[in-house]
Amino acid sequence: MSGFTARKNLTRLGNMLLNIPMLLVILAPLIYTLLISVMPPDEIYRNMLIPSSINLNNYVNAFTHPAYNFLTFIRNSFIVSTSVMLGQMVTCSLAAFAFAFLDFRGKKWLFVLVLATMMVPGEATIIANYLTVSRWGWLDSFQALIVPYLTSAMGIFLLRQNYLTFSRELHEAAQLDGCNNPRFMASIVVPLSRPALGALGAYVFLNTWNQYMWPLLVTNSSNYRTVQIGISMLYDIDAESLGLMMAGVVIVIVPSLSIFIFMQKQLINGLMAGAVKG
Amino acid sequence: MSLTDSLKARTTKPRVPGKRGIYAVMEPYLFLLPAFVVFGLFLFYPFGRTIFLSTFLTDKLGNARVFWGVRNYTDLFTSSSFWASVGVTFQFVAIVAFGGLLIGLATSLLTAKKYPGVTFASASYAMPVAIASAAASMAFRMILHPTNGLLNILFGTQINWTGDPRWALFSVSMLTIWLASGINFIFISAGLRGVPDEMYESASIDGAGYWRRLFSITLPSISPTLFFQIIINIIGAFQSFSQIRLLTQGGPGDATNVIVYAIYRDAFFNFRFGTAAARSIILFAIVLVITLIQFSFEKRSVHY
Amino acid sequence: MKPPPHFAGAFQIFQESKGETHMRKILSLILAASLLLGLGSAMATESPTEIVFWHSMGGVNGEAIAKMAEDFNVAYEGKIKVTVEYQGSYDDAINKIRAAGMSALPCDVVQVYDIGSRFMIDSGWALPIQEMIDAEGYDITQIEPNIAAYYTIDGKLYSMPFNSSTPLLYYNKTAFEEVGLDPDVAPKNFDEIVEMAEKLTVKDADGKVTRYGFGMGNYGWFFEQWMGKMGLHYVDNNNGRGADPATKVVFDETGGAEAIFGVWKRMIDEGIITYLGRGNNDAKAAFISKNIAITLESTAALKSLLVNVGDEFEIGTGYFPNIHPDDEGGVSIGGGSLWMLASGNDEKQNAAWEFVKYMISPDVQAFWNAQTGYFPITVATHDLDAFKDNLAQYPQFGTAIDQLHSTAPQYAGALLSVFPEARALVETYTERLINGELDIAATVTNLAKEINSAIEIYNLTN
Repeated sequence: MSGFTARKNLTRLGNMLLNIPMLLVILAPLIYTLLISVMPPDEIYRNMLIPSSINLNNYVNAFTHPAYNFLTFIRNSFIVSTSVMLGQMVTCSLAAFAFAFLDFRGKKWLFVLVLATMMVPGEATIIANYLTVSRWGWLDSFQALIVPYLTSAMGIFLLRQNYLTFSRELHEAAQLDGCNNPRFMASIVVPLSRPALGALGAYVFLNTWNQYMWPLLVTNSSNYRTVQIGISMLYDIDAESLGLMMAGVVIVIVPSLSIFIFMQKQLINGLMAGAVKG
Repeated sequence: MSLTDSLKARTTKPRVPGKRGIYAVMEPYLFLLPAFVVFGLFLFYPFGRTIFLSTFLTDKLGNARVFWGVRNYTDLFTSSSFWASVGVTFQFVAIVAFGGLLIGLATSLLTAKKYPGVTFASASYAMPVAIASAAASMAFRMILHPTNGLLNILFGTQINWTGDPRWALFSVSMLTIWLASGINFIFISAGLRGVPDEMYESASIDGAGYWRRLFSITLPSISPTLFFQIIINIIGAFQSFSQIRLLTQGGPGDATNVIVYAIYRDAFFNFRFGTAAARSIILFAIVLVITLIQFSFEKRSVHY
Repeated sequence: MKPPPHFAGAFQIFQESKGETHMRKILSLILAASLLLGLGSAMATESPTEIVFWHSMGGVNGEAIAKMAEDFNVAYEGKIKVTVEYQGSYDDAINKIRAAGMSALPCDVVQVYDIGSRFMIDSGWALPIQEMIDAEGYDITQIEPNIAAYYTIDGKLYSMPFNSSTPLLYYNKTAFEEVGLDPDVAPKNFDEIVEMAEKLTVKDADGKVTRYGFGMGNYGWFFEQWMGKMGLHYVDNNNGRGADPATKVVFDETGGAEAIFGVWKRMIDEGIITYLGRGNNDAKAAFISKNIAITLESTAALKSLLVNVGDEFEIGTGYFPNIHPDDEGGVSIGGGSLWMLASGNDEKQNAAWEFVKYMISPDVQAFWNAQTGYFPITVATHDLDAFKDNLAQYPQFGTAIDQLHSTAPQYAGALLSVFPEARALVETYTERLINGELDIAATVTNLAKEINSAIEIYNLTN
């Protein structure tokens, strides 16, 4: 018996050790970015990997110099991401509710239509959306960043999947109690689906925080520019200030990484629940 | 259970008599309204508009000016640059879709059992999900820097990772695989967890080794997950934009000029919205065909 | 499944959930904090006219712009307030103007690069500077004539030159000394560059090159400058400055393109240079980290190079090199100019004009020159102490000015509506030549074909 346990422990050890190179590969970009961001510039040009001293100038510059507007960009991204997140939570819950609990004509076709939206790649609509938005005078505004993303097929699927796990009797019981649909939804369905809503919210927030192409097209001034566009412009600015560029990356990653770490369990469970059903 | 069945089974008819008034009939549509308004304005309408635009030549401000019929399409189909772009896109998508899947599979297998530090490892493997492609591109700009970047320092080489046509596509693909590895890890791990233990027990009684178990039991059991994940990877790869724009701008030559970037270039740099719209429609058709092929493939090879 | 126990309490869902209140509180805190952190600091009692300035200067140059704008706001406190927006590269900026212009003009003054001039004129959005000059009786001789010539068409000055540059050759004087080359003599043409580069190349024990003698970025601007250095035109109709706009390129007919691509091919084939990507960023970094000893760059990079190189080595500057030793021609002005947009709002336009005049005033130009390397466009700047002191400390700043004075207005450079696209195509085709996809003849032919096609479509739809 001890031979078996020993072998089991050995395989466990081997398993654990195998992770090390993989972890290094996955984490290397982040670690490197951090190291460069605190390295004095001449050491960067001398191709050193470990800084001799920690130099926080780049971070100070990024936040305080008038030529850079990081706090504003972060603010903008927060506003946009939060609004889109809340918006999707609302519209997707409503639509998912209809598909999961109600019966109506054309239900099958409307559902197929939602499915179809997943087929259309963003590029097929981005040009026309851009023209629409600019015709409405929405260029360089929060509306342009928020409104087109107020719903998503993924959100509707996720929530519908979740609602389908609630028993039919629940709805029938509520109706017998004289509870109409909106109230049923608001007071029973929504609280019950909180984990799924949380997962959806985190996922949507992250995706919106990370958006690039659309904000690139529709924002012009730092009043509305989001954080991804902000750091990408640092490259145009001054390739010599490589350290500043890396500091910018760190600044931009910290919020989304924090949300990820904070909401990890919910996010993963929510996404997994959607995946296992296929 | 088919889609229709599942839809039918979940509905409840209102029991209270006399409630079949106008409101009750309209109610479901009201629930759907917000979502469908957004879809209508920002998905269905623009899609139609794009088709319309693709038959025109536009002026320097983007207004449709000269009716051009199918010429935008034929011009594209006869342009070597367009086909180069299609070829590059397919290569890119293939590398990324399978590469991401492989890494996700590897990291999932590595964290399938418990050991000290497995939580940290799992969190790290999932982490790329939280990193924006633009931020990662900037970080990789430094990593791939020809004279002062990490890769050249580590390998002692002087390769211009983004300027050398032999390496440009590879570099951009590696970055995209890194980004995709997070979501691949999450979903495949979930899939692995769903495999019932009994399946393994019978195999180890038979004396089957690790690799045998992997290929005969694990992989077939998670094939729906793998299949689903490949589609996600493919769709995501088709939409990759910021990496190209920030690292290579479609170059060198056409080495990384994926369709999505060519669309952006045509529309927002050359201001030829007609041609760009034509490219978009072609891209849509390609994605549609691929997805349809995959679904028919699924029916045949995925095990439940 | 039973209903949740707190059925009654669940009515709170109608009100904000705790999470949403929390979120709202955080949002308002963030908003308040960012407002306090000063998105705008003007505490004027009357409301000043607000104007917006778009520019494409980054890094050291961008920081200089920020300071200049700050000083302007202080000087004009209460009357005019300018907000400065960095728009990324020149390409990005002009595309944003184009895109935004479809609905509403997005700013009052915009910095546009040299090759965007034809587009700005065609767009009809620009308010020609000549109009403001005539209205005020501004003395135009204050501006350097060679520079003003570039932006004058039909006797009308369309935009105000602001950051004008010419391309320079930069070299590592310390490295020259090391290999026995005279550190005060810069190579004048590519034959000399090849010769010197061979001496300057350093290989390590394994035969790997650790320092290339020469390196340059793949920058379309250089292509255009070499046309001028050979005394050749880029397009027809008097280089696009005639009565009619250009209809095709001529560099395929004159052998100009062939000569330029020939230089690239020779450099690559003989292993003298390594490909350093598009634009100048990688070449700059390589020069700073001593991986190349000679490079080509705009004079606008001088200050930033000085700052980044520091004491590592001494920077030498020379004129932009000729293709052939016997070329007769000159460089043209690069960089950008300030365009006023016709908003129709007199108050804003006057305020914008004040800002423009401020930016080219002698003191400000002296500061700009010292901070960047762009040469002063105002003649009077040369008499200022600030300028003279800087020049004494860093004689490299004088090279570009001397080069400017030695060129002539006839080499002023082409005007082309689709210039930005053409420049990008030049870069793409250079890449295709470098990686062996096309030979020189095919590169020239295909490049000309694509640019001509772009010109045709533009003329057809506009």
